[in-house]
Amino acid sequence: MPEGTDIFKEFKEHSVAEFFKKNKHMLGYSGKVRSLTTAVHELVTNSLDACEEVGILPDISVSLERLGDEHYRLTVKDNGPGIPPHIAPRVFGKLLAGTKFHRMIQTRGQQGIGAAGVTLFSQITTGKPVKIITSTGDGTVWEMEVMVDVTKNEPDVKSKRHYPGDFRGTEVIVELKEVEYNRGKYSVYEYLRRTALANPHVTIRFTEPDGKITTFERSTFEPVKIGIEAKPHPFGITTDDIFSLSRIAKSKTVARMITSHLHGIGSKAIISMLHILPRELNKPPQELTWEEAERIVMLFRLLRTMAEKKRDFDEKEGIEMLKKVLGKEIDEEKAKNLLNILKEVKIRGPSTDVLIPIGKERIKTSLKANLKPSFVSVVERKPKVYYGGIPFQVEVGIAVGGKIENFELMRFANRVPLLFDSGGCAITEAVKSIDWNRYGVDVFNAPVVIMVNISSTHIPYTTAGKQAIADVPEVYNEIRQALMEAGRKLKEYTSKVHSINELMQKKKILEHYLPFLSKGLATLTGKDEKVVESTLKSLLEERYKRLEELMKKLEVESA
Amino acid sequence: MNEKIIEEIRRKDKEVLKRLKEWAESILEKAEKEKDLYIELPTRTLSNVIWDEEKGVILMGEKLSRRYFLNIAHAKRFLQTVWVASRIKELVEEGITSSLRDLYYTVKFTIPGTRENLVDEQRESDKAIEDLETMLNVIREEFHIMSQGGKGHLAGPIEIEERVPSPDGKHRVTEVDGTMLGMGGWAIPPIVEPERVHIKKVEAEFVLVIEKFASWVRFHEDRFWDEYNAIIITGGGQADRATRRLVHRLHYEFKLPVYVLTDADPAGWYIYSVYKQGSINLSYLSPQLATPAARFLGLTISDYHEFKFPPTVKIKLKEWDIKRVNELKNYPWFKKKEWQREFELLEKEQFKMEIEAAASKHWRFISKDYVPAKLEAKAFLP
Repeated sequence: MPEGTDIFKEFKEHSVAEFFKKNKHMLGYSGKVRSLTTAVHELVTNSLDACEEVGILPDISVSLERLGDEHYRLTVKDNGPGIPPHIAPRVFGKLLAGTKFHRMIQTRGQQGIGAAGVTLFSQITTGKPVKIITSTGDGTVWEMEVMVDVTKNEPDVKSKRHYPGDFRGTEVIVELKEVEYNRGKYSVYEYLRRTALANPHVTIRFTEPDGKITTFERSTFEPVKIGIEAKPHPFGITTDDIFSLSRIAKSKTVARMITSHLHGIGSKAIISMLHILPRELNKPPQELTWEEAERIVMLFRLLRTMAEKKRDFDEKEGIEMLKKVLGKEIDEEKAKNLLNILKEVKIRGPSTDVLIPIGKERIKTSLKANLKPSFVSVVERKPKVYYGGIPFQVEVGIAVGGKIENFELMRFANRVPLLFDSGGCAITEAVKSIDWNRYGVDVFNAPVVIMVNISSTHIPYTTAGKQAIADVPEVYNEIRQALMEAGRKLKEYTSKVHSINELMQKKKILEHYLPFLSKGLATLTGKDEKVVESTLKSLLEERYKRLEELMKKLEVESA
Repeated sequence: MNEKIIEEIRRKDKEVLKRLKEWAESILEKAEKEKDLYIELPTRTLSNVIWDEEKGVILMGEKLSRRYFLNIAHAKRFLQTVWVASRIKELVEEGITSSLRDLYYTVKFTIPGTRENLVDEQRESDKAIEDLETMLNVIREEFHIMSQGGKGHLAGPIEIEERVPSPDGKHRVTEVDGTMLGMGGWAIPPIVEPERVHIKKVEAEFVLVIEKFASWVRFHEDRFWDEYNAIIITGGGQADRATRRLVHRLHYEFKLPVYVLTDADPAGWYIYSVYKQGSINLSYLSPQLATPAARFLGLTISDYHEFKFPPTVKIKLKEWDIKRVNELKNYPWFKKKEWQREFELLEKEQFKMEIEAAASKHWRFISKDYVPAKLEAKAFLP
C-alpha cells in the first residue's frame, strides 16, 4: 500500500482535535524543527498552487519572528489571486475540507493536511487564531481571524473586517509554539531553498528570526503550464479519496459518483461492477461508510490485478480478493461467475497529459542559477505508469563542481522538497545503488548535487507523512534509469575534465622544467640563458595551444 | 710532469668539451629548425644488442630512438641528461676526476619550483652518463668519471708511467716496474686511458688473467711472471672497466696473447666471456673493452678427469648454476662445440670446481703444474 490511509479512518470517529493530537507526528508535526517546516510547507504550497492556477509568477515572502522560547510568528505572503472572503474560512478552518477533488489536477497539495492543519497546530500550542489578509484585487481587502471548531470540524471566524486597499494576494500570519528554528538540513531555510530550485519561476524572500534576508530569485519568467484537468484514475484511488469524495459529491448514487468523478469508467464497466457490489454502489454517496469505501477500493484493486496479469491471472488469488471485496465467504461456482463478469470490464488507461514535470530546460536553468556549478546533466524521462495505471514521470538533474561544496541529494515529489525520511526512500536507494565510479565521479565524496523529481497524480509515498517514496519496482527502476542516463552525460564531461587536467598537469611540470633545462643548455653552449629560455618556451606554448582550445570548448558545453 | 704529457691530457679534454658543446648546440638548432626538442640516441635495450660473429664481440646495433622533452614521459630523463652533461663539463674543465657516486650527488637536488628531485637513484645518473657516452662517442673515463672499482691488480715484465693530473697544477708521474712490486702488485687505477697510463715497455710474451685476487697472489709469489715471461692480471671477480680496458690495450697495442683462468662453473665462464666479447649492458663499449682473441685456459670439468683431482673437490651444483648454464648454452658466443661439450658435461656430472681446489694436490699445483701443462699443450677453449 503506497499510502497510509488508516489514520484517516479514525478521523470520522473522533473529534478533530483528538485526531490531530493523536496523529500529528504522521502529519508532519513531529519535532520542533520539523513542525515549523511543515507549517511553512502548507502555507507556501497553497500560495504556489493558487498562483499557478491562474498563471501568475509567484512572489512569496516568508518571515519568522522569534517571540520567546520555542515561540515564533510565521508570516507567509503571496501575490496570488487572493481567496474570496466566503471561501477563506473553510480553507483555514476546516480539516480535509476538500481533498484534491475540488481541483482534479496534479498539485502539490497532496502532501500534509493543508492550511487548516496549521491553524489547528497554532490553536493547540498557543490558543490563538490564524490571521488572514486577502484580496482578489477588487479594491477590497479582507482581514479575518479564524480558528477550527474542534467538535464540529467547521471554521470558527473570530473576527472579520474589510477595508479598501490596492492589494492582490494573501497574507497569513500565525503564531506557533513548541517549534524551533535553525538552519540545518530539515529547516525552513533548506525547504525554501529547495522549493526555489524545483520551481525556477518562483521568487522567494525569506526573513530569518535574526533579521537576515535571503532572496531566492526566479531564473525563468515562464509560468508553469497548468495541468489538464483530469479525473483521478480508479487504479490509484484510496479509501480516503472515495470517502472524502462521497461527502462532497452531488451525485444520486455512488455508482454515478464514480462514473462522473473517476477516470475511464464507462456505463458498461459500472454495470459489471454493480453485479459485485449492488448495495454499496446504489446508495446515495452521503451514506457511504468507510468500510464500504474500502470495499470499492478493493474492487478496483482486483480489477487492476486482472488488468496487470491478463492471462497469468490466478483464479484462486482472484477468489481470495473477491472475498475481501464482498466481505464474506462465497462458493466457488458463484465466484467464478463473478470473476467472468469482471473480466469484461475495461477501464481506460490514464492520460499522461496530467503530469507537470519541471522540464529539462527549466531544471538546467535553475541548477545553474542557484548552484553555480561547472557542469549540469539533466534527464527528463518519458511518462510511465506504475501499478498498471498510475502515470508518473522522473526527472533527474546532476550538478557538479563550481560553487558546489559537498554532495547533496535533493528529493522532490511534484516539485515539493522531501526533507525527511531520506533513509527509507526509493530515491535514496536508487542513488545509492548506482556505481558512480563508472561515471567518473565518486559522487558521495565530491561536490555534486543530485536532484530527483517525481511527478505523478498519485505519488507512492511510504507513509502518511509523505516524505519518502515507496519501493515500487516500476518507479525505482525508472529512477535508476534516469540516474544512469544522467550519469552517462556526466561521464562524457568528467572524462574531458580528466584529460584536460592531465594535460594541464603535464604542461605545468614542463613549465617548471623549462627554465632549468634552459640553464643547463646555456651552460653547455655558452649562450644567454634568457634567450634559450624564450626559444624553448615558445615551443612549449605552441605544443599546448590545443589545451586552451579544449578548455574553451568545455566552457561552452557547460554554459 | 713535462709539458708534453700535460698537453696530451689537455688535448683529450678539449676534444671532450668540444663534443659536449656541439651536442648541446645541435639540440638548440633542432629546436629552431624542427620546432621540437629532442635528442637521438642508440636504443640500449636487449633488442639492439647484436653478436658480431666475425669480430667476435657483442656490439650495439644501429637502432636509434628519440627522447622528446615535450613528451612528459621523456622530459625528466631529457633534463637529467642535459644536467649530467653540464656537470661533466665542469669536471673536465676543472681537471677533476670523480666517481659515479660523486656525480650522482651533484645532480641529486630538488628542481626549482617543484618538490621533485632531478635524480633520486644513482642508476638514473649512471644511465645519463651511459647515454652521453653513446651519443658523444666518448667513454666515461674520458669524462673524468670512474666507478668505485679499483679491484684490478697487475704484475710482470712491464714498465708503466702513471700520470696523475691535478687541478692545482701539482701533477704527479709515477714510474712502475712490474717486476719490483710488493705482494699487492700494481693496483690498476680506475682510468687507464693512454694519456693517463702510458705503457713504456713490455717484455712479456703473454697475459694471464686470473679470476680471483687470492689465486693471483699464488702466481705472483711464485714469480710465475718471471719464469714464464708473462703479465699476470686479476680483475677480482667480475672485472671492472679499467681492468678490461687494460687487457684490451695490452693485446691490441703489444700483440700479447691473453689467457684466462677461472673457476669451473657458469659464473667463472661468464667472466671469461666478458673479457673476451664484452657485456650486454655495455655493448656499446665492446670496441674499447673486449678482447676477442682471448683464450680460455681453465678450469673445465674435463680437467677434473684429466688431472685426476680427488672427488672431494667437487661442489654440488646449485639451482642457480643450472639455470645459468642453460642461459650460457644459448648465448651465440658460446655456441662453439667445445663449450657446448663442457656445458653438457657440467649438467651431466652435476658438480663444479674452484681454482683453489688445485691446492688439494699440493700447495703450488696451480702455478707450477696445472697452468704450465695447459700452456704447454696449448689446451685452450675458444
